[in-house]
Amino acid sequence: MTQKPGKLRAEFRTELPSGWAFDEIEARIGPIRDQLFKQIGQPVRRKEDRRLVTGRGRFTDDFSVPGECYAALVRSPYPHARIKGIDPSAALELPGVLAVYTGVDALADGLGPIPHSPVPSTKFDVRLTAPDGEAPFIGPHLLLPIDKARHVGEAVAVVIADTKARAEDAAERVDVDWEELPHVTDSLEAIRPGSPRLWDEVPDNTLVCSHFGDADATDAAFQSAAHRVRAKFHINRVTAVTIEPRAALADYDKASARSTLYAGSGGAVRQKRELASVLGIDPDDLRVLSYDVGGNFGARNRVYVEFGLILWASRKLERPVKFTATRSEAFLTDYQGRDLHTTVELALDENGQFLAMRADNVSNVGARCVSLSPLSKGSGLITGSYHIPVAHLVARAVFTNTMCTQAYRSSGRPEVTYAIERLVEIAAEQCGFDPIDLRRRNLVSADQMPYRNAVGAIYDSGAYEENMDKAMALFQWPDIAARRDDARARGKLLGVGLANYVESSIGSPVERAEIAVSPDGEVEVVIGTQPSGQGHETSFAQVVADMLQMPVEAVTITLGDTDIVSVGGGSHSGRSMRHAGTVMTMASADLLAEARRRAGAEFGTPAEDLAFEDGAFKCRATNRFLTLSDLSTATAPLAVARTNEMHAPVFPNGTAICEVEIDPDSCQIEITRYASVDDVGRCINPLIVHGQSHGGIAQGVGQAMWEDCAIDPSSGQQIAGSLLDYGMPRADNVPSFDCEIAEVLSPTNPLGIKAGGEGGTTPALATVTLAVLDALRPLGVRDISMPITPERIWQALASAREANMQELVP
Amino acid sequence: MEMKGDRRIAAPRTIVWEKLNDPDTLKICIPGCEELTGSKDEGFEAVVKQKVGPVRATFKGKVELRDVIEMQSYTISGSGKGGVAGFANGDARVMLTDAEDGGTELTYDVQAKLGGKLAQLGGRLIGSVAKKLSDEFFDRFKAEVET
Repeated sequence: MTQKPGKLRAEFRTELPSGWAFDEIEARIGPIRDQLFKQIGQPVRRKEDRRLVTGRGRFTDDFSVPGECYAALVRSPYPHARIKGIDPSAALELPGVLAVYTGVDALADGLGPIPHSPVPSTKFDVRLTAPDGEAPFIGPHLLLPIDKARHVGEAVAVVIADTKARAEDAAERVDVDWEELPHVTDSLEAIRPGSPRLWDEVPDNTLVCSHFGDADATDAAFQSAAHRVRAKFHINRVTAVTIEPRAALADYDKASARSTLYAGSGGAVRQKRELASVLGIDPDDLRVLSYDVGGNFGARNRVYVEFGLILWASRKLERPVKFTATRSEAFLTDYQGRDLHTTVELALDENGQFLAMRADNVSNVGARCVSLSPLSKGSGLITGSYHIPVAHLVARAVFTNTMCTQAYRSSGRPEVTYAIERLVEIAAEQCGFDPIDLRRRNLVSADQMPYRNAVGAIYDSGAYEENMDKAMALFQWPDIAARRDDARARGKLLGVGLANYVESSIGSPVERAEIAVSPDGEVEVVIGTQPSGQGHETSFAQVVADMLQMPVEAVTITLGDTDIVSVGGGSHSGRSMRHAGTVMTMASADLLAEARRRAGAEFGTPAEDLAFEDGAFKCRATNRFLTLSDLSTATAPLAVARTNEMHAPVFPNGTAICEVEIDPDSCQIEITRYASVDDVGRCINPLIVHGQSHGGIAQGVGQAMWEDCAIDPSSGQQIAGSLLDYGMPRADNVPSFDCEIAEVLSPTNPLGIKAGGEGGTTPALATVTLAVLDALRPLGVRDISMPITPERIWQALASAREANMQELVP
Repeated sequence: MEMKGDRRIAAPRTIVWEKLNDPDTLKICIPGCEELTGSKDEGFEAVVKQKVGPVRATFKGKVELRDVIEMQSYTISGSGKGGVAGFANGDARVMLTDAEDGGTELTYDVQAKLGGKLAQLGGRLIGSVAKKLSDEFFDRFKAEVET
């Protein structure tokens, strides 16, 4: 069921900043009428799947160029160590070895650092700064460091050889003279006085410290509150484990002085821009190709040093150079996710009305700052789906001797959703409220929309309480007691966890679409997003098909080649459908305007008198008509290009409920049911959105139950470096999900799109944890940290038993 | 990672001490040791082959004796580099006391540290492998002294 977006009324409490809502005049397009939709909203099967499942995908490692050679990296085994010297002579003696390059060589050749722009830059992102209010120092990300290695796995030299095996053997013989330095891997340890320092520029390792909200009002509200609760959580570090490890192939053409890089990523345009800057070449001299991509989840959005290294090496050696990461390298040096320490406090009145909230969030960015998106996104959403009048947040980002973190599947939002939902549950228990009633009493209501939360984020639209009711109905909430009894009869402990969520989808603000209709009726759309399994070739085609009233099959989406795609923000932050949908709709309108002009001239009638139906302009009161392909000729094809800049975030939201059964003897956990209602705004293709939600849930459940980039603090070593040690969700350990899509349109874009997929992940950390705690509550367990393995459950039960014994024996 | 243990050795303390300082004995006792050269005073160079889980490595490194209290105790420390397999460092404090039956009571306290692939891939096996290796060292040593 689709609800109309609330028309912006003058009496809204929230004063909306300029540029927030979708501007019909500037966009030259109004909200799109539902009557136009034939394909939009339909579960059209994915056009790309036949290619992908029949082995005709074009993944990076599938490409080869004659004469290619291979790169292997020499990586630091230490978390923190000075490089006193690198001796490549033993490596260079081996047959087939073409070169060994170090950071000193890179510096001599004038290579620059990767120009990461970690501070989110749209008008509506929260402002993160250094403690002194200035732009934060991010730690220059050179392709190879010169002074020291700052995390285990950091590449310090690259070996190029004629085979992969020879390159790897030679890398083993590069002799690095290391001087071990003291290290720190935990962010709370890193900010303690006297902790090992990663960068001299940032003596206390704190690169960002920003305050949001109103500290005085929050303090006052806490002082007068009837109830106060407080909790501390660590949201563990995980990694994306993309099924296709990162890979790249660099080819240099001496004649044209141009390089071509085959490299799957989250967006080829960024790769081209940033890598050209690293190499110090004109961006036009670099072509980046990113076709099929086997998983991204954020890890592939930023530039990797290996991509720059092989481009550089191929230019020096005048030979193509290939790099494909091993699974071990992926575990160690793919950009990782999460790792947030948070302390949260909530003040309530005697009726359970939320009065104020405090949060102290410390994000571990790793050895360099690649992205502050997780901290930033989370900062805007600390109050979750609830109306909390005042709040105060301290947001800090901290360097440690670990791999850099980056936005990962629903950047920053699962962390804060976990914190607020667990805090609400703690408040309910400690203050004696029913947890559902407490949530209901405090949810932001539909008539408060657009709603500005206590740290300034403006939630665009949504019916939060309705989501919760729908999810509880879907889950058959009243049956819980009977199911619990049934489980108990089988010797199992049953628990249920519910979480409401709201998340923000912002992302890079600029997107461009080019649409051309050929004389034979083919529609080609060029767009700068980059799918890695999201089905853009289908859902984008549905949008253009409806706009132009053409069949979906006629529409081809072209992406991933920077010689064709000039502008584009890539795929991250749930931005693709919304940004691409909007700009494709605008470009379609431009194309129809041009076609109408041509048709009018052809018919000799005023263009505005023509009707557009079924892909053709019709001359009223006659049987004459001209299709779009009729109006496109080889010499003057119908072709338009439109660039759109859109800053306003959207706030997908929903409710998810998880049920677990725990065997108290073996401590084995089974997820027995999972239901969710996700408001994605306008849903273009429910089949794809459901698929994305399912994957998103599995990914959130994975973090809650198995996944963990475990780091041994004493040695600084990451000790889960293979699929043997890093647990992943699998088809046989998650149930079939009951998901429902809600569509409350967003007023920020013409199609009313929010975002889908990440909503599966956002509440899942909380739902699983709350379900486990619900199951274990009768045995005295009140806290458990992720990943919730059987061992953790066993430990929690053992300490609860011990505590009970101590209570019994005074 | 820490391991502690003790062995009752049926030999007088002077003999046990002598063997603890004898490169040939150490070479026989260090599991996987292929070469041990050098001297007690200048330090030893060692080549040790080991396999931990999926990781196979040849370590080249130094073996040093520190904090030597004649006839009583020393710390034997090894640090080895295994190329891409990573590195392994370990210290064992070894103490001798006279046992009542005329033999010697040997107690040890081992601390070990690993890095690189060994830590990442062999992580879950490291504890048991390290215990096995230190047990093996002292079992062999006891056997070597007693024969």
